[in-house]
Amino acid sequence: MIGTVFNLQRFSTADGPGVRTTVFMKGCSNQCAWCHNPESIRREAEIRFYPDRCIGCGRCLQVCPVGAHVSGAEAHNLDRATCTACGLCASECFAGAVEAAGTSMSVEDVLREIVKDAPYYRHSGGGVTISGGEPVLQAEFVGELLRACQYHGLHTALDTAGHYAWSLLDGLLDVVDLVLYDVKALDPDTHLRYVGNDGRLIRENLHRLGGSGHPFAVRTPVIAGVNDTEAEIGGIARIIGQYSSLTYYELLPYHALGNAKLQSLGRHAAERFAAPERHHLENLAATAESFVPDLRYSSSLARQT
Amino acid sequence: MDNLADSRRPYDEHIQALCHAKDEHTRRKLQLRGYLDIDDHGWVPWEDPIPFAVTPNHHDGRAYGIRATGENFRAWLQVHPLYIHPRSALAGAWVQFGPPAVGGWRSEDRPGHLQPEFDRYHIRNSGVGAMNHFGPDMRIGLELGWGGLLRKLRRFRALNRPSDPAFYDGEEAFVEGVQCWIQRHVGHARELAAAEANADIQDNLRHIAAMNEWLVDGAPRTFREACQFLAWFQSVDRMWHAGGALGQLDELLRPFYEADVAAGRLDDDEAVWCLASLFFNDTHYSQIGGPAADGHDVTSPVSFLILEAMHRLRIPVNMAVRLHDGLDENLLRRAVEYLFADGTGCSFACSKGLDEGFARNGYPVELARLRAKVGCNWTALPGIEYCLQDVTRQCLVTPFQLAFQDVVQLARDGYDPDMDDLWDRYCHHLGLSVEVLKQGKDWHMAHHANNTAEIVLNLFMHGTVERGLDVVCGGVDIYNLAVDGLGLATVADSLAAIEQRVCSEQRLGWTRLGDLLDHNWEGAEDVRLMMKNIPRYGTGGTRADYWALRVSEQYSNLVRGTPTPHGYRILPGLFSHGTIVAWGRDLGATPNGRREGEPISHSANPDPGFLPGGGGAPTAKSTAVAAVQPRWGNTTPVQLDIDRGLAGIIGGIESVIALLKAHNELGGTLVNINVISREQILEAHDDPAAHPDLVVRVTGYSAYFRSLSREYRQQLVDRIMAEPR
Repeated sequence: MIGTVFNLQRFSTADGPGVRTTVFMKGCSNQCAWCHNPESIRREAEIRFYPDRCIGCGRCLQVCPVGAHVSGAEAHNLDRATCTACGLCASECFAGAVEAAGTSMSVEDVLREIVKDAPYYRHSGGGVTISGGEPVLQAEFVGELLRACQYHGLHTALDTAGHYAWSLLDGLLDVVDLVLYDVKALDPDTHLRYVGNDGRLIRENLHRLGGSGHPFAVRTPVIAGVNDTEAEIGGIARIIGQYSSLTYYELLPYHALGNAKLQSLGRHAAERFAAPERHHLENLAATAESFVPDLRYSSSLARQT
Repeated sequence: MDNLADSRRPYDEHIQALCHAKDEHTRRKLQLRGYLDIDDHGWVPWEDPIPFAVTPNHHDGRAYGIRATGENFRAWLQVHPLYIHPRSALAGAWVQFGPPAVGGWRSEDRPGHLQPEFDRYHIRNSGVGAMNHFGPDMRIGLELGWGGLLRKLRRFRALNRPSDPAFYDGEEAFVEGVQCWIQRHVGHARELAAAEANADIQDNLRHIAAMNEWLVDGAPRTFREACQFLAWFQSVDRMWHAGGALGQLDELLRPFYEADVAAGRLDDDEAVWCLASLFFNDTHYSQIGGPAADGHDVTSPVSFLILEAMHRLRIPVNMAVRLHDGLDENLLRRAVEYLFADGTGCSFACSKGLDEGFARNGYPVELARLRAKVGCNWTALPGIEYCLQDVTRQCLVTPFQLAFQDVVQLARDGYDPDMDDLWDRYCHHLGLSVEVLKQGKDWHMAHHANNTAEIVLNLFMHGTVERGLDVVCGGVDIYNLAVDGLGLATVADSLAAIEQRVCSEQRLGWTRLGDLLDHNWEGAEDVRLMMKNIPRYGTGGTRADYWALRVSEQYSNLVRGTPTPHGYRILPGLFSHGTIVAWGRDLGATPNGRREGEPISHSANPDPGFLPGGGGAPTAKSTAVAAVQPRWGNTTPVQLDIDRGLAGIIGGIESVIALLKAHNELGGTLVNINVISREQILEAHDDPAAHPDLVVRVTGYSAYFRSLSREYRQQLVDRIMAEPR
């Protein structure tokens, strides 16, 4: 079984309980305008290009089968219209100017990386988290991987945004110990504008997940001017708080790490975003806290005023 | 005795005053020295001349041997400056190494015949002539006091009636010197008290005078007196060639604490002040928590008070928590919480690897558990073992470079070499360099006491005074000498890079690589990066990880497999202190993409940015270093630099606790750790003086960041910038 993975992060502490390894799957059914992993959105392989790292060795020009690398007198350019993202240039670029975003990996390959940190999971109550992108889009691979993790006695978490047919997630629940369910916004217009769909399917799947009784946590990226309102955060908290299988609700202040990645993919952010101010985040948290059993947020990640 | 508990003192103000005084001392030290790439050492800057003239016993104008050392030490302490900070609970501080022109090695005793091989194998620290670096049992001093030590010397002199009484002559003279120095502080405290307007401070100074009047001869009776005794020990130990081991501090002080609390004459606030005053006096290495001989955890309220004193004082302190399965969870958590709050704090010595490793030498595990972490990277059996830790470095890189040159010559001669040839030549050169180090150890043991006696620590060992023998000359029963290898990642990554790029992929030949290294990669930056960008040591499961383990095992077998020619056992570790800059400066380029003159790798840590894509992960580093431990009871520390952002994440503290526990479980031996943000370290690197309070753990030791040279600061910056956010 082969999946498309774009990153494996060891000592991951933000995606579920304890010390974890997070596996980032490529391909997503949402189009979040603030995405901090923009290389995750497209399922197909992509090339990240950092011209400032180029040392002018010319190896990429030599191996590129379609002549997508153009070396002028002053600059090295990548013609993305020509590039087929075959990755040959990335494998020859030792300066790190050209990198492949997305690798085909077998379940065994991924598992081999995951089990390296098993002692740390054991001492922290941690384990493995499959994230993305939208990992459920590669449900067959993810299911096999999580099953293998459980066979090794590892705690499993699935970080998903819910925009797909419920049957896909339902088929994975028996190999997932904890679902981390992302809810970006309740307002359909806001959702449509910033995520690319009106969020109806996500809300429906949220109710199905809650109704299933399967342990889950909900996470919301909090973005100034987008969803940092009491109506949104409080509304989400009110909805999810009705389910006894909710373990916690987590507010994740926006961060801008995705901007540089986006640029390396030859794309540019249409809009700039910001984290909420600290006191505002604290107020939102106070609103949400009354509805959920455990409210989590890190105010240090908020904008300092 | 005065009873300070009856009159509440503003202890926090006292501690703040000590912190500010340390800040001022550091500023003046840097004016005098420029930078300090070592421990703070507690010395107080002093610019006035000290009226001391050595009484030599050698034509070179210096004094050697224990009698001359003791007599000169006595004379030195009769004139050594006096220091009392009025808000400290304790008196005393040292101002410079001394006595001047005493000790060192006579030219006729130096191992000139070994120097050519030392030079060939780039052995910068052979350990010959090195001092201290073993652990005293401070219970001896706390039970006897200085007067009791003097009487013990006289009793055993009378019993032994030695034909050459030099040992007793020297030691008695030294103790008399210490007593004189303490007595002079009594007078000084009274003078300061008489001139002091603040009633509380005046009271404190009078208490210091009375306390020390007793301690000139008497054994400590209270917690504060015990701290004062340790402060005097620290001061004279440090001035004598930078001794720095103290012991299991919580257990040393616990009886005094319990007695004082039971008698109602001490509260925790005062105890914290006394401890802060002790740390202000010096940064001797100590341990808290950990197993007793029977395995039960020794954590006590004093362990927590020690953490509290470190936290409130916030100056460099060299304290280790001894991590074992039975460690008090609250102590571990408190230590990690303060690590997050202060950016630095305790290191964590790992009992499983240390105890099981030491027991492999044939010692009962009950004894192994007592080998306390009392040095920068090292452990020792307090009072019963001479180990000479942390002063002998085996450069793993130079033997590799010589081996590589041999193989390149084979290629130039028309032979088609492979990795087996390179490995064989490496084993050959590594074996020769280990052999010459062993010869150096024998030379040290045969000549050291006649040159530089262990005049301070002899008093706190079991057997030295009783036998009238220096610790180096049979004064104790257990001898385990130590060697620390360094540069493991440089060698492992070089071997893996050659194997992949030269042997497997055949992208370049041996001679071409040899030429590029000879010319420091000139005009071949792409090849340098190609050699650098292989799956590197630390990733786990790579060829570089395989080579790292193989090199460690080979080095360990060579060191531990046979004793020195005179029969001394050597225990291997992998540790580089902070000196990788100096080690690398003299070395040519290496096949792992390292340029000529750049630092070599740090201890057995993977190089910064070792994971694919140039990142790092504390778990990966921890696992890698645990896997290459020589496992004979000496340490191979892992250096973790955790991004401060983790402090803001729920579960961040628990993650670090899990890291520590897992490293212990995997057989690691020591974790040195900083919690610092990239932004803070970059700002402090640009303008160190603007961050006077920033304390970092460089390797095994703790120091003000601003005190470090630019090269040392750069080491930390490189490490931290390579860590994940």
